[in-house]
Amino acid sequence: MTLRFLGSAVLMGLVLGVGAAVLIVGRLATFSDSSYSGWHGNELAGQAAADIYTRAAIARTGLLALTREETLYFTRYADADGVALNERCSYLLEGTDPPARWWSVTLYAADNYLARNGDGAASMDQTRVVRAEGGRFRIWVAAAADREPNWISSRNAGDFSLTLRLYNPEPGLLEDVHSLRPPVIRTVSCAAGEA
Amino acid sequence: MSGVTRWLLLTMAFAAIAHLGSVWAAPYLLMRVATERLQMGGEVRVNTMQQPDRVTEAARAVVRPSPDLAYSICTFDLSQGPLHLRAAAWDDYMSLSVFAANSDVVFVRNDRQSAGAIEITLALDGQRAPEGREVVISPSQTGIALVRRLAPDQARFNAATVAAAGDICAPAS
Repeated sequence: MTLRFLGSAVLMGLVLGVGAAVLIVGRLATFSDSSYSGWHGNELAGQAAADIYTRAAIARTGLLALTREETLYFTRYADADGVALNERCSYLLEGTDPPARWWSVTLYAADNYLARNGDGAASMDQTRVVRAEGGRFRIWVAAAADREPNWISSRNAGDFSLTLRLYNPEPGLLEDVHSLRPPVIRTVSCAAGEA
Repeated sequence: MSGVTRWLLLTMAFAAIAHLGSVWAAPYLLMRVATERLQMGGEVRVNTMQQPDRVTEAARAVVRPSPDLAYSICTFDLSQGPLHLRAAAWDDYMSLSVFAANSDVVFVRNDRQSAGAIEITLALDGQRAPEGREVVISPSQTGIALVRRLAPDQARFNAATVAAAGDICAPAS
C-alpha cells in the first residue's frame, strides 16, 4: 500500500466524515427533535443520556440548556402553515399561560443571537404580557410595533426563530410534554411581493 | 479485491471515524469557545464569578441568551482543588447550574428546592473537599457554572446585580 494510496483515502475520509458531521449537526436542530404542535424540542437536553448527535445539536443552538425538570425549551422556525418565519412578514402569536412557573418567548436571528435592531423588544414573558379577558394573550411579532400591546420586534432578523422557555414546568406537563398547548403563530401580512 | 474497491473501503472507514469523532468533539469545542469568550481574552479570570451586562443584541458569548434573565457566570478549572460555588438568595426564580466540559448538566438546583442561598462544593472525584457543604463531583476538570435570576426589566436587573454580589466561585477552604 503506497503512501499516496493511504494519504488520499485519509484525506477524502476526513473531508467526507467532517463534512457530513457539519451538515447533519447543522440540521439536527429541526431534524432530530420532537415536534410539539410545530415547536421543536428535545427532552434529552443537558442529560448524560443524550446521544452524541443530540448533544452536538443542542450545544450548537442551545449551549448551557438546563435539563427538562428545570426548563423545557421549544423553538419554532415556521408559522402555522409551515412557512419559514421572516422579518418581511407580520405575525400574531396567540395562546394562554403554559403550565409552568415562568415562561418567555424570545426571537433569535438565524445566527442564534438576538437580532441587531436597537428596539429592545426581543422577548415577551409571563410578567409583562398583557392578557385579554379569559387569560388569552396576543403578541404582535413584526418589524414595527402596531396594534397589539405586546410586541416582539423582528426588524433586521431575516429568517428568524422563536424560543419558548418554560421554567419549572408543572409535574403534569413533565409526565406528558406532548400535552402542551403552545401558542399558535399565524401570518397576518407580508411585504408586497413576498409570500 | 481491486485497488479501487480497497481505496473506497478505506476511505469510508476513515470517513466514519472522522464523522463520529467530530460529532463527539463538537460540544467540547463549543464549550471551549464559549469559555474563551466569557473570559474575554483573559480579562476575566478562571474560578471567578462574573456578572455580565444585561443581555442585549450585543451579547455574543453564548448562543440564545435570554434577555429576561440576569446571569452570573464562572468558568471553572478544578485542577488546583475543589471550588466553593454560591448563588445568593433572590426573591424570584433563581438557579445554580454546573455544566461539564461536554455541556452535560452536572448539577442544577433552584430557589424552591433550597431556601436562601444555594451552596455547593464542586470537586473532582478523589479530591478532598472541606466538610460542611454538599459536595458535587464534576466528571470533567473544566466547565461552566451559571446562576440564573429572573429579571425581565431594568429595575429587576439592577436588583439582581445587587444580589449577585453575594455569588461566589472560589477555591473551597
